[in-house]
Amino acid sequence: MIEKDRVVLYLTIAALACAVLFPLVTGLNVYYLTVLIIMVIFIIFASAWNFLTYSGQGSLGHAAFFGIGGYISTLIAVKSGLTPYLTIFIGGAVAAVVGLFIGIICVRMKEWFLAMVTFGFAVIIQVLVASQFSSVTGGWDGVAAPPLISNTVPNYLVYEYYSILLIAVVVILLFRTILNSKIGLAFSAIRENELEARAAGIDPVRYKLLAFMVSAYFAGLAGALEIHYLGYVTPEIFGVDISFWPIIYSISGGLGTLAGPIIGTIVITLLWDGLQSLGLTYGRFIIIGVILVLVVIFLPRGLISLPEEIKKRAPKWRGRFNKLLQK
Amino acid sequence: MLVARQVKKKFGGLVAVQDVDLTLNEGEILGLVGPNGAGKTTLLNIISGMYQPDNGTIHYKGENITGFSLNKLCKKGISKTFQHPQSFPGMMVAEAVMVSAIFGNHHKVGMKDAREEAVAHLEFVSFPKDKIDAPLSQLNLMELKRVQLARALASRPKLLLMDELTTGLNPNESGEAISLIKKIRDGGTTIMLIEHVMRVITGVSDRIVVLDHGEKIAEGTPLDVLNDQRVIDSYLGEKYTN
Repeated sequence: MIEKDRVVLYLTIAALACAVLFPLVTGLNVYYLTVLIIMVIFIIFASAWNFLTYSGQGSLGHAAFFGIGGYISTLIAVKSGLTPYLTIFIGGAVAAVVGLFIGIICVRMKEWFLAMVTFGFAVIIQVLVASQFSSVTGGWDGVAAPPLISNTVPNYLVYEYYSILLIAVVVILLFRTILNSKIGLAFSAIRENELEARAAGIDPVRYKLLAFMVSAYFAGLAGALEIHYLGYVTPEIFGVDISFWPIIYSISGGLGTLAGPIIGTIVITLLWDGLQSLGLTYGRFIIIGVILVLVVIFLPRGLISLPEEIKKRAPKWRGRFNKLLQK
Repeated sequence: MLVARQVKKKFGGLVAVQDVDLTLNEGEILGLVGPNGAGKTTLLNIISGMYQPDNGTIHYKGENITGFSLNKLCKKGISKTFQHPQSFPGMMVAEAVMVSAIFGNHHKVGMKDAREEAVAHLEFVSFPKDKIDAPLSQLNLMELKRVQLARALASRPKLLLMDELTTGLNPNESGEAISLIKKIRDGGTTIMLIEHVMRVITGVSDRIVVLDHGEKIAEGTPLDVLNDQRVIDSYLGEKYTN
C-alpha cells in the first residue's frame, strides 16, 4: 500500500514537471500552449463534475454552471473593470448559489431523474440567456470577455497557462483534502447506502447539497477561465456537448478517482487535437466514439486501471502466446 | 426511557401496527416477538425514525420524538441494526464503523481516533482481526451482522434496537450472542430486540412484548408470556405447552 502511494507521488511529480517544462522545451509554441490551456481548464471542469459523483449524484447539465461562471465573470469584469483574476471567483460563487438551488430541488431524486433535471436546467438557462436576458448578455451574439492577461504583454499565453495550471493544482489538492476528510467519508457512505448512512447519523441532504455547491463552484470557475481565455461568450456555452465532455473525460479516465478525470482529459484531448491535425476533422468523432466503447467494455474502471488490468491478464496472454509458438 | 402511545401505521389498506402502547425502562432488555407479519419490524422502524407513524406519539427521555428522522435520532442516542445487513458494499470494514463513530453522536473525534474506536468496537463484537481492512462486499452474512452491530455501537447509543440480529445462527453462536447482548446492556445501553429463536429471546429478555396482526396481545416476563393462552394459540403452538 505504502509502496503504491510512493509510486503515485512520483508519477504526480513527474506529470507536474512535464506540465511546467513542456512550454519551455517546445520554445513557447503558441499552438501547443492553446491546446494545453484548454486541456487544463477541462481538467478542472471534469474534476468538478467527478467530485459530484463521490456523493452518489450525477449531472447531465454541468454546462449550466460552466456557462454561468463564464457569463457572470465576464459581465462583472466588463462593467466594473476588475481583473478577471478576481471576477472568475465571483463567477464560481454565483454558479455555486445556483447549484445550491438546483440541489434543493433535486436532492431527493435518484440517479437518472436527477440527471434529467440538470439536463433540462441547462436548456432553460441557455434559452433565458439568449432571449430574456439578451439586453445584458447580447443574445446569441454574446459578449466580448476581457482576457486574463492583455495580449499586448509579450508571451501573455505563457503567463495565462501557468496561472491556470496553478489554479488547477490548487483545486485538485483541495478536492483531495476534502475527500480524505470526514466529509469524504460521509460522501462514500451516502453513495454506498443512504439508509445505512442515515442510521449512522449522517444527514444526506446536507452533504449532497455541499457536494452540489462545491462541484458547481469549480465548474463555474473553469467556465470563467475558458471564457476569458477565448475572449467572448455566447449561449453556445450551455450546449449539450459542453455538458458531456466532463462526463466522457471522467468515465474514460476512471470515475470516482482523483486521477481519472485528469488522465481522461489529457488522453482524449490529445487524441482529439492530434486526429484533427492529421486531417480527420470528422473521422475523429468515430474514432473517439469507438475508443470510448472499448474503454467502457474492457476497462470499466477507466484508463487508470490499465496497468493493473495488464498485470492481471499478462500471464494468460503469455500462456496463449507460448501455445501458439509450440504449434 | 421510551414511551410509545397508541402507535398506528398503515401501508395502503393494510394495518401493520394497531394502537400499540409500549414502555421501555432504562437498562432493560425488551424482546419483541410474534408471527411473521405481526408488525414487529414496522414498530421498530417507527421507533428508530425510519417510518413516520400515522397516529400516536413516542417520547424518549421525556422528549416527544414522534416524526424525528433516523439520523437525528441516531445523534440523540437511538441506534438500529437492520434485518438484512448490507452496510456500505464499496467501503472497508473499519471505514464503515468509523462513519458512525464520527457522525453518530455529538462527540467530536478525528479520523485517526475514529479508526481506533472502530477497531475497538469490531474487537468487542469478535469480528475477525485480519479482515478489518477488507471490503465489505467480501464478507459473509455473519461477519456483516457483526459489522452492523459494531456500527450501531460506535455511535455510543443509549438505546439499541436490534432487528433479528441472531437469526441464522447455530446454537453455539446464539449462546455467544446472548452473552454479547447482555454485555452491551451491562455497559449501560438499553436494548429492544426482535428475535425468532425463542431460546435466545427467553434467555436474554427481562420482559417480552408479543404482537399479532399489529396488536399487542401479551406483555410480561418470559415465563408469563410463555404460559399465556393467547400467545400459545397464535404463535407458539400446542407443543410448547408441554
